[in-house]
Amino acid sequence: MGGLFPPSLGFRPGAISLVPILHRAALSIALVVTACSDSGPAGGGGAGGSPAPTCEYPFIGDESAPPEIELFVYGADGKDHAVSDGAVLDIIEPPQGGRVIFVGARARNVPGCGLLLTGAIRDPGTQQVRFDTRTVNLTPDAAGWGSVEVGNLSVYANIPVCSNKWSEQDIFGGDFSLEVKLVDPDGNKVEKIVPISAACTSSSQAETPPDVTLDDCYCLCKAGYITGETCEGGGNAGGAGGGA
Amino acid sequence: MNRVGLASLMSMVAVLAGCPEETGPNPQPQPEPTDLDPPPAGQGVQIGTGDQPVPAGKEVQNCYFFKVSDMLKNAGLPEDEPFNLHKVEAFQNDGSHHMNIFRVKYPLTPDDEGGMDPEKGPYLSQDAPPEAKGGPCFKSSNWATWPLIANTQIDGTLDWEFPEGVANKLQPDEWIMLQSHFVNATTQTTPAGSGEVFVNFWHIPDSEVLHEMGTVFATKQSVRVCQGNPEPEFSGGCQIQSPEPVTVVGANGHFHSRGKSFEMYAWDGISTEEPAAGDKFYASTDWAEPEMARGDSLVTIPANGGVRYTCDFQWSEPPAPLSCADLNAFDAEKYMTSEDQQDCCYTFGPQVDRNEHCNIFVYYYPKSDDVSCN
Repeated sequence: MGGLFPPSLGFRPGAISLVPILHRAALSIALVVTACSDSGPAGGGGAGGSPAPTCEYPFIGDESAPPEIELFVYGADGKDHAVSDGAVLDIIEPPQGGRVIFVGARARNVPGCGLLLTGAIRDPGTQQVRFDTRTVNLTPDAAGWGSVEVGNLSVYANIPVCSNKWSEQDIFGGDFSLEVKLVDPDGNKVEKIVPISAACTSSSQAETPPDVTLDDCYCLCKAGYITGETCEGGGNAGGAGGGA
Repeated sequence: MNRVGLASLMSMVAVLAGCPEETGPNPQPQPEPTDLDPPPAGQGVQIGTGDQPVPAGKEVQNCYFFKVSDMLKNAGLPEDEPFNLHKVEAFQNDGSHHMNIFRVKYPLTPDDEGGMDPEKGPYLSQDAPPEAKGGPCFKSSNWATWPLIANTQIDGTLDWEFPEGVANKLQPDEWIMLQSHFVNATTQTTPAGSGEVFVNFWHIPDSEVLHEMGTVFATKQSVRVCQGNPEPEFSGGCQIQSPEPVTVVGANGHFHSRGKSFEMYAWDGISTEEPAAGDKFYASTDWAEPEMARGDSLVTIPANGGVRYTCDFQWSEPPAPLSCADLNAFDAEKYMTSEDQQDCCYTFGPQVDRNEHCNIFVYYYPKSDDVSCN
């Protein structure tokens, strides 16, 4: 039989039995005798008692009219830009690494609370898709529309496009479609599909130097990228996991 | 000496020594015995962590490294042939939040740049300076893309023999990493004040291996559970590039105490529609004791398809002694969130009282070398 424990911890290969555990317990007793801990309990409480706030936005627009949706994208310049056919969307490094495109939505004739926003980038050649879905509320504006909170990227679709292990095209400069939909709590849906392209940028929320960010983008987003491949800039692919 | 007797003796010693008798959740270390005997020679190996101190009010995440050739040697197996992992057993004392075992995947972030070098491990929270926030083992980018081998959650025990002929092949020159996370805080406690992990890996001969096991580990790192959007849902997907369908034999999801519902579905890699109920192969509504689904075939995933997963959360006030100010400070530091957008949010991270997760662990066969998640 064999046992393997970190040598630095003083274990040797071999069977584990109760005896050494009791020896360690005895050592703990000795420590208690010689030193009283002044560390108290972790603190009681729990998850608080007041009710969670809920969204109270009204229905936005006309309940009898068909829902409408418009799209915008968060750019490397830190501003939002409307998305139209053929738009070039900025690829940005989020805090966790990898690369995403942040897409927001505004809509009318929809409820203001509890909508599911799905943003997806599809490769029209293979039909493969990368998507993100999250719950959003729409803040009413003076024009009779409601929008996800502008500038709050946690309520934009965080569409993960790189590392590119999914498309046969480079993500930058390639031809893709952007598919965005809102689904209300009753299952009613409004969707918009737009042909787009994408561009690498030096914009990073992970505090990567701009030149490295840009070089890594071209590496991570190229067709045929292999996980763990060393990029010119030396950056880490990061991202959300994978497997083997 | 049984555990009751040991605890009584320790309590008596403390009183004799003039220490105040603590009434908190973690007054004395009380290591627990294990019934987990190592596999017989030639059939497997036991690995473990040794004692991991987990002081009251703290949580630790420690990373231990083992070279497969050393495991083979200790198992009495040829050191130049693969270890065909067919059965995993684990035992941990109360307080484990999770234990994950990964293959180390290169290239690595250098040790002196905040990464982990297997030959310089283990990496322990207790060794990390305060500014390192628990050390490199707490830094998800150091291991987020490493392939999974096995995992447990708060119920730290595991006894899983894979379906007949299925094995995870570990090559002699590989390193594996055992990551142990113990919590002794508010939402979870470690009664003994220390944690210990024992894992048995059981081997089968090459002649019995019919299918190589593959795994999927995904972390939805853009989760954000905020006061102003208190019931959010997040979905993502993982694609398994495989020219043939794959069979899922194990799955579990992981989130923290704001987690309400975790679901996984077979996915075709193409659809963005809400999946059909019939495609669901995993569901859990218990963050503390999540379903650990296992079976000969939980679901069949179509060629080049994958897994779609969904996490639903319910925001709640931070557990004492934390406050919204603490969560906002973390949000600002970690995610550079401006003050006007701070909203008492639980953001992605390992610390159970102040962070959230939406992670999946999926085991399937036959293995694909090309898996990507978002």
